[in-house]
Amino acid sequence: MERNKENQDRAFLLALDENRELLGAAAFESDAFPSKFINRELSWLEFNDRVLEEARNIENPLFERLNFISITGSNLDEFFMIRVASIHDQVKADYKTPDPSGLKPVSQLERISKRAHDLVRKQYSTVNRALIPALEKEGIFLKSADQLHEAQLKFAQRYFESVVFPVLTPLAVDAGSPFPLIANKSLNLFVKIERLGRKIKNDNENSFAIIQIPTVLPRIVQLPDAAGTSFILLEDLVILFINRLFTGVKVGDIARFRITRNADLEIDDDEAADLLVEIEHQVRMRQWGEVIRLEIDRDAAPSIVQSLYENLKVTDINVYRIAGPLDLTLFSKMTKLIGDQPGMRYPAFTPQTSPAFFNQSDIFSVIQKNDVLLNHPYESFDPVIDLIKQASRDPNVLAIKQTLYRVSGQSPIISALAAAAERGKQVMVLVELKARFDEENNIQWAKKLEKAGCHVIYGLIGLKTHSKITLIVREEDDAIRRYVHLGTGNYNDATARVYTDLGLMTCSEAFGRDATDFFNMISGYSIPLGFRKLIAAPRWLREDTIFRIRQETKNALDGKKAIIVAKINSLLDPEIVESLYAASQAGVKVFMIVRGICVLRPGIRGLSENIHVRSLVGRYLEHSRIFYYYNDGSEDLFLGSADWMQRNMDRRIEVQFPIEDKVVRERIFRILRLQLTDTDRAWVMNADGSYRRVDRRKSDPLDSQTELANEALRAAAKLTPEPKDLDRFIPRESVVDPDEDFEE
Amino acid sequence: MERGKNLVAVIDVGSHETTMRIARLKRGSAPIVLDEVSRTIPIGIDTYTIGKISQVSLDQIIDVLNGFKLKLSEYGVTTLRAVATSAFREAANGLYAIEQIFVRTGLTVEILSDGMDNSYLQIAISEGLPGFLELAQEGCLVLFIGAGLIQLTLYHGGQFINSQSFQLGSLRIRELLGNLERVSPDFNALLTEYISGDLNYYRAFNARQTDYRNLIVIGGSLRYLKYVAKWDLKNGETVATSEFLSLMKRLKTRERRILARLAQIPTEQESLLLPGGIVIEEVLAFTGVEKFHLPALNLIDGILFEMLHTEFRTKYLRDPYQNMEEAAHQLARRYRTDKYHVRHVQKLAVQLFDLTGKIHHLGEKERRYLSLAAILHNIGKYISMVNDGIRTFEIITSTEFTGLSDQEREMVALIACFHNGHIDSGDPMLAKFSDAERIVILKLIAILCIANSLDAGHKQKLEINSARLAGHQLILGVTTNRDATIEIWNFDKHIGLFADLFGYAPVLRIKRTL
Repeated sequence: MERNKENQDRAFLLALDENRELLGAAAFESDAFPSKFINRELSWLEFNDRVLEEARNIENPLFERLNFISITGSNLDEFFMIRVASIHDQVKADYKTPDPSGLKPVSQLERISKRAHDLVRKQYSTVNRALIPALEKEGIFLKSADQLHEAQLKFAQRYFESVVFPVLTPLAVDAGSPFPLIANKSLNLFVKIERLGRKIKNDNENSFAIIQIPTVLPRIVQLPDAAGTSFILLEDLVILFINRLFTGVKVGDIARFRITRNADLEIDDDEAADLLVEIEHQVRMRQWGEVIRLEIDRDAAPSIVQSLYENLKVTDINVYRIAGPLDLTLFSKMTKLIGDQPGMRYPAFTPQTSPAFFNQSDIFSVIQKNDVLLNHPYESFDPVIDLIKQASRDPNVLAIKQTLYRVSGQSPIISALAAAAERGKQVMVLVELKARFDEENNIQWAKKLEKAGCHVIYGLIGLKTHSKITLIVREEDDAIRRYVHLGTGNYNDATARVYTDLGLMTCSEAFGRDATDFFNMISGYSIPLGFRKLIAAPRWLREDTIFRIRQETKNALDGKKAIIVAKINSLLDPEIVESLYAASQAGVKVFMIVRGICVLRPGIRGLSENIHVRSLVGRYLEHSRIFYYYNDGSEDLFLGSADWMQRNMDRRIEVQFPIEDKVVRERIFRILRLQLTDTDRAWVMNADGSYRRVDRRKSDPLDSQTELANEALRAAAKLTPEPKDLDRFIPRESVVDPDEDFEE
Repeated sequence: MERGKNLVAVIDVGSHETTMRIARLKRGSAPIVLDEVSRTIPIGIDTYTIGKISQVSLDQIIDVLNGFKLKLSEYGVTTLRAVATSAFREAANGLYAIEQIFVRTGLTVEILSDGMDNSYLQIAISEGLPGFLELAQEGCLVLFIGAGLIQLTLYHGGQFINSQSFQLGSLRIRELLGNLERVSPDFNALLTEYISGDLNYYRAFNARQTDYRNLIVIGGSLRYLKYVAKWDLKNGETVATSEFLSLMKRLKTRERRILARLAQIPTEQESLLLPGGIVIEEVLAFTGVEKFHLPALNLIDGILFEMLHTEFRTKYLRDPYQNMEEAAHQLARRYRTDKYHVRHVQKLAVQLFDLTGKIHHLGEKERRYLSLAAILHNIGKYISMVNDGIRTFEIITSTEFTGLSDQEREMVALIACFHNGHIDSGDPMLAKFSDAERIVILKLIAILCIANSLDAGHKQKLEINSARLAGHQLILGVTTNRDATIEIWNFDKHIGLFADLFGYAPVLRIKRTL
C-alpha cells in the first residue's frame, strides 16, 4: 500500500504538466497591469492579510486565532521597523529610482500606507467584532475601567499602589523642557495637564506628560472574577488612577500611543574593526531610529494628535488611528496567562520519532546504512541534537563544524558544542551575528562557545551566513568518515516545533568532501572551484538556478515535457522571475508554493499562463525550500537554505543540495503532492497580487499539515509492537455479535 | 584505534599559494586525500621584484600556517613535511624567513633545491599519471609551469634525458612585464617574444631529440585554465592542441576577463592565465604534438608518494634515482666522456662500496652519490685536460640535477672532482661542510679513487670479486685476462687516502683468467 502511495505521489508530479485544475485558465491579458512585477511590500501585506484570515477563521481554535492576531501585530511592527523604514530612508535621500514594479519610493509609501491602513482596520474589526465577543462567550473578559465591579476596583487600586505606581515615571513636557525620547515599540500615555489657577489662552500653553507603560510589568492584569476570567490592560489601569501621578494639577485629555522606529542596523562590515563590538553598539542604538509609524487612539483629542505630529515629525501617511488596544501581541500573552483550556488550542501534537532512529542509540550507524530525512515539526528535531551530543561524547570524533544562524535561548546544541570543545575536539562554529533581532542572543552564546574553547568565526565580510550545515569528522576502522546534516531550517529546537523544515543526514563521501571544502572556504581559505554535490551562494547558486530554469525552457521549446515545482518562502529576484516568465512562455509548467512575498504575476496570457502560485498558511509556518526540475526525465530534486531573493543569491552564504536517495525522494514527492492539492490551508494567487481560497467544491478536503502530522503518527504507531496474547482472555470463537438477538 | 595512524600532511609554501594537504597512506593505493586547504599569498611578487620576502607577506604565511596547525590537530596528524620553493630559494632573506616561521609557528619548513622540486614533480607524474611509463618509452616532454619558473624534462626510450628550468614562471612574467601592458601595442606578442627567446635555446639544445611524441603539462594555476575552458579531464585524458589554441585565441582578447568573470575565478588567478598559456603555446609549437596531458598533479603529490613508499617500503613505478643516474649518463655523454670507462668505474666503485660496507658504514644515499660521481668524474676533460677535476666540479654544480639538493650536488661534484684522491680534510673546498659530511665525502673519494685507478687504461681489464680484511690490509680479489701492469701501478699510487681514512691499506690479489 505504501509503495503504491509513493508511486502515486511521483506520478502526480509527472502529470503536473497536464493538470488543468491547478493551472486554470489565464485570467488576464498581458497589458492588464502597468508592470509584470508586484511591489514586494504590497505582496508582504497580502501575506499578513492571509495570516489575519487565520485569526478570522472560526474553524481555528480561539486561542490559536488570538495567536494569529498577535502575529499579525508583531509582523507589522517588524515590517515598519525594517521595510517601511528603508523606503523612508530612500525618500530622505531623494532616491527616485522605481522598484521592479515601477513604483518610486514616495509612491510605495503611499500605497503601503493605504493597504496597511485597510489591514489595520480589518485587524481591529476582527478583534472587536470577532475575538473579544468570542472570548466573552468563553467567560474571558477584557474589561475597560468602567466595567470593573467593586471588588475588582479595589483589587485594581491595591495592585496599582503596590506594583505599578512605584515604577511609573511621568515625564512632564512644557515650554521649558524638550519632548522626551520615546522608546521604540513602547506603549505610552499622552496626558494633558492644566496647571490650576492659570488662565489658558490656547491649547499650546498646556503642559503635558508622557508616561511610558512599564514593560517590566505584565501588560495584562488578571482581576478577581467569580464568574469567569477577567483582565484589564495595564494602560487602562494607569489611566484609571492617573490622578495619583499628578497632584496639584488637573488632568485633561489622555491618549494611548505607540511608535515604531527605524530599526535597521547600519553595519559597515569593512569598517568595523571588531564586528562583535559594532553590533553590540548598533543594537543599543536601535532604540532611537527615526519614527516610522505612530499608532494612537482613534478618539484621541486633536490637540494631542497635533502635538505628536509636530514632535515626532510624522504625517497622515504614517499615523494609524486605532479602535482598540494598541499592540496586539497582548493576545498571545493572554493565552499564555490563561494556560490550557479545553478546545481552545489545536490538539496537542508531539513531534514523532523518525522511524529511522526508533530504538537506535547509535546515530552514526543509522546514517551509515542510509540517508535519513527528517520532516519537522512532524518528526522530532531530537536526532539533530542527539547527533551533536553523541559527537561531543564519541572519542572517535575528531571535529564538529556547524553554521548557526538563529538558535533557541537555552539551546542544547550550544551546550553540546561547548562540551565537545571541552573534551578536546576541534569545534568550529560559524555564528551569524547579524540575524536580525537575534543579535544579542547570538552574541551571548558566541561568547559562551569561545570560552569553552570553540573556534568561533563571525562570518565573512559583506555576507550573511544563512546556510544550515553540520559536519562531523569521525575516525572509523582506519578511515575517516564524514557525517553531514543539511537543512532548510535553523538549528533551533524551539522553532523546529512550529516551522516546517526538512533536514538530511548523510555520510556520502561526496557530501562529506563538499562540506569539508565549504567549511574550509568560510574559514578563510581559498574558495574551491566548485563542489561535487552542494551548490552554494553567493558564487554558484544563482547561475545554477537560472541554468536549470533555462534548461527546462529549452526542453519545452524542443517539445519535451518540462515541469518546475518550487516551494519557497519568498519569490523576489527579478532575474529568476524573468526566467520563469520565459519558461512559461516556452511551455514549461511551473508550480510555486510561496508562503510569503511573491512579486511574480501568475496567470497572465502570453506571460505566465503556465504558472500556478499558491501560499500555505496554517498551524505551522511553512519554511522548507524544495526544488524540483523535471529535466528531461532525470527529475532533479533539491532542498536548500535559500529562497529566490536577491539577498539569498548574492549576499548570503547559502547551501542547496541534491536529494538522490530513492526513499528520501519519495517522501519529498509526497510533501509536494500534498501541498499542491491542499484545500484547507492553501491560497491561490491571482495576477493582481490578491489571493483566493481554493474552491473546496472541486476536490476532497485536504489539510496538508494535518495529513503529514497524521502520517508521522501512523509511521510511529507502526513501530510500537502490537500487544500480544489478547486471545488468551477473549477466545475468538466466543466473540459475541452485538447485533445478535439472544434467545431467552 | 590509534588516532592519526597513517595520516600525513604536506605543506607547500609556494610562490603563489600556500597549500596543505592531509592524506591517509595505505599500502597498495595512492595516497587518499582527506582534506586540502590553501590560501593565495603571492610571495613570489616580493622575490621576483625586490629580491626578498616582505614582512607583510611573511606575516600572512605565518598566519595561515598557524591556521594549518589547527587543522593538523583536528585530524591528529603527527607526520608533517613542509617545503618551500623558488620564492624562498631565490630570496636574499629566505633563511631568515624560514627561521621566523619556525619561531612563530614551530613548523620547520625546508627550502627545496631546483633539483628536489623537480624530482617530486617527476615522482608525481610517474606515480600518478596512468600510462606514463609508456609515454616515457615513446618519448615525452614534461612541462611544469610554476609561479617562478618553468621546468622542461625530457624522456626518451624510457630514459630520463635532461631537465632544464627557465625563469618564465607565470607570476614572475606577470610581475616583470605587467607594466609593459600599458605601453605595448601588442602585449600578447611581447609576452610571446619574451618567452620564446629562452625556449629557443632549449629547442636548439635538444635538436637531436626532435621526436617529442607526448607532452605532459602540470602546474598549480592550470586548474583555473581548465576551469575557464570547462575541461573536466579524468586522469589520463588529453586535450587536443587545436582546442587549446582556440582557447588561447579567446584568452588573448578582452574575452579573457569575461571568461574569467563567468567562471568566477579570482582576479589574481585570471591575470596568470595568459603567461602560462603562452608558455604552453610555445612548447606546443616546437613539439608539434596534437594532444597533450593536463593531469592535476603537483609537488605535494610527489612528496606524498615518497612518504607512501618510505612508510611501506614499496617500490616506485619508476625509481626516482633512475632519473638521476640517467641524467648523469646523459650529461656524461654530452661532455663526450668515455662511456665504457665511466660505466666500468661506476661498476667497480659500487662493487667496492658494497664489499667494504663494514669498514665505511655508509648507506644507500651515499652509494648513490658515489655512483653519480663515478659517472661524471671525467666530464671536466671536455673543457680542459689540465685541472679537469675543477672543471668537473664547475660543470656539475652549475647543472640542474633532478633529485639532489644543492648540498648533495656539491658533494657529488667534490667526489667527482677529487677522483684522484688528491685532497685532505683541510681543503678549502670542504670548508662549508660539517666534519661528519667531510668524512663522508672523503670516504667516497677514497673509494672512487681506487675504482678509477683500476681502469687507468680505459680498457676495463679488471673486475673486483672479493674483499677481505687481513690484519691492516684490505685484500681485494680481482680477476683479469689481460696485462694489467698499468692498472696495478696506478692502483698503488692511489691507495693512500683509503689507507689514511680507514687504517686498512688496500692490496690487490690478482687472479688471471683465460
